Amino acid sequence: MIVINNLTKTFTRKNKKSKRKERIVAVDHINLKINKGEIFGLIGPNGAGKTTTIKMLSTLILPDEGAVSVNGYDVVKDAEKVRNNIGVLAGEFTRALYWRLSGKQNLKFFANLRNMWDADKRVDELIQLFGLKKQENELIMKYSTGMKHKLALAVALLNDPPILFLDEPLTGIDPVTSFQLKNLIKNKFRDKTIIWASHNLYEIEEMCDRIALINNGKIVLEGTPDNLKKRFWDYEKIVIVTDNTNAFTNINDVEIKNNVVEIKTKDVTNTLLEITNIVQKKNIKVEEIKTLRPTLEEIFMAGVKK
Amino acid sequence: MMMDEIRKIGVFIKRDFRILFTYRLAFSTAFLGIIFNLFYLVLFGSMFGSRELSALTPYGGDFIAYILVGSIGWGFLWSIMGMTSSSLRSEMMMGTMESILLTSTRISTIMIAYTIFGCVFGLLSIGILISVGLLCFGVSFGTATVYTFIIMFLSALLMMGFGMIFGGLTIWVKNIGQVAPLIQNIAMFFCGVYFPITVLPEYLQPIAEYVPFYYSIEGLRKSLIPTTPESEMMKYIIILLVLSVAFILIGLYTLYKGLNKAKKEGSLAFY
Repeated sequence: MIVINNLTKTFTRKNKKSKRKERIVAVDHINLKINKGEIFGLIGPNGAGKTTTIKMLSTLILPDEGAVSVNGYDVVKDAEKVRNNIGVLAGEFTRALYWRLSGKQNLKFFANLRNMWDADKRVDELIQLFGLKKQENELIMKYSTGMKHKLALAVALLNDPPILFLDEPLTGIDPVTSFQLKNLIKNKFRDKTIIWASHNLYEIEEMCDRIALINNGKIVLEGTPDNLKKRFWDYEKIVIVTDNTNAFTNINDVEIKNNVVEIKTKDVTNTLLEITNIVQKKNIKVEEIKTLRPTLEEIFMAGVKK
Repeated sequence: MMMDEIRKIGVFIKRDFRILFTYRLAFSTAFLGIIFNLFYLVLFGSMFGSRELSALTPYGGDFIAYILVGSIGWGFLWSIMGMTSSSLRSEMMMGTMESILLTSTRISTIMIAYTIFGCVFGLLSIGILISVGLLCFGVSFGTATVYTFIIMFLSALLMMGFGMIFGGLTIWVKNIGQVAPLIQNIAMFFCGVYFPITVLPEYLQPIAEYVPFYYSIEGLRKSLIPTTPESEMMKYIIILLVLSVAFILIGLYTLYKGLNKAKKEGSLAFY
């Protein structure tokens, strides 16, 4: 379990114009509780504070304020114990490996640094799991990005940690590798607690049990994807495709783009009746009519604007 | 715990040799450079013929042997120094620094590993120099004694201390540029590498006593001269021991301060 209380981090940087040092709040009093075995998505635009949060949880950055407990260990006071309980896939994962060592040598090196002195079995297991057997003795500079990605994830899993921090885990890889990794995480690592940071809403929605939207260092929204949609977006959309869009201008909350009419409504039944009346009265030809639930992207955009 | 850290030193050294061997051209040319340097020094020394130079009398009088010992000692010191001070920067540039720190490996373990790797590399160079010197030019370097090894060991510790200081500064400011080579060039002047300090103007000579590397080079030379009194050798050993401890402590402090600062700033992966 991971408990984050009032976590705050501020950086200083020089303003290019004024040449003065200014404070930038990267993470602003974050409070989160991530349950055992949960895949928790941290979504937010670039620079929102996702990576800084993950780095504080992984003991690579010291927090200014607040406390974080990872599996019962404090990230500052028990940093070493925290590190023994986590596996981290960094955002710039290809930079986390030695390009002039083979895949197997990389795995063995990092296994030894984790005090795993008899790691051959585990290394072979991971090589098999990630389908890198054929290339295990090749220098990883010859690996494709997808293969490097798999190897970086294998390094994070060396000590079979109960907690995984994945920062942009599917960025920059092809759809096939992405599909393979998602399946692997869903099927093989379901017992692990995972924090999945990304700005890709589709992967977050697909993979995560619960999500939090982070923007400007603050948690703006938190919940399951479905609950967030219900809670934050309490209306649905009715979309009508027709050539006679002007007939619908009197309906509340209507937006018209070319031949598409979009109506936001809290009462779908009544609005549909209203639409039917207009269509019958004015004898309008409707090519298509459908109701839409909000997407996570819309919630995300609304959260960011808020 | 302690045993694990000691075993990790071996893991780092193995990794460094593996990486080094993948750069075959760089590896072989590094040693070729040493051999050419030897040729250069021997030819340079041959200008003096068999003439004994009075300034070199305390060291046996042979100019070629003098500059070769100086060159070997200096090369050994700075091979360690170069390895320790640049290694952290290269880990930061490659992006592997964070990966290593995520494994709970102590930064002191990393630095000791780099020092030993530098020592091994330095000793390899010395081996090549001595072999080529003996086989091609019949140069006698004197007989190594137990003091020679003690002086080399303590010098390695001293350089590890300096390497840690530069490593800490590298984590702190990311690129210390030409600071290390600048110190190397200035220090060489006062360490009696290519000429004894007695040839320096009198007012500059006392400076040598404040340059830590002077005791390494001078101690190394004296350890190769069989007539050097034991008390004189002990003087070099004690001074080097004190300096090594002091610089390692300063180095560790600088390293931990630098690391702490980088963790506060979130700049561990910056370079």
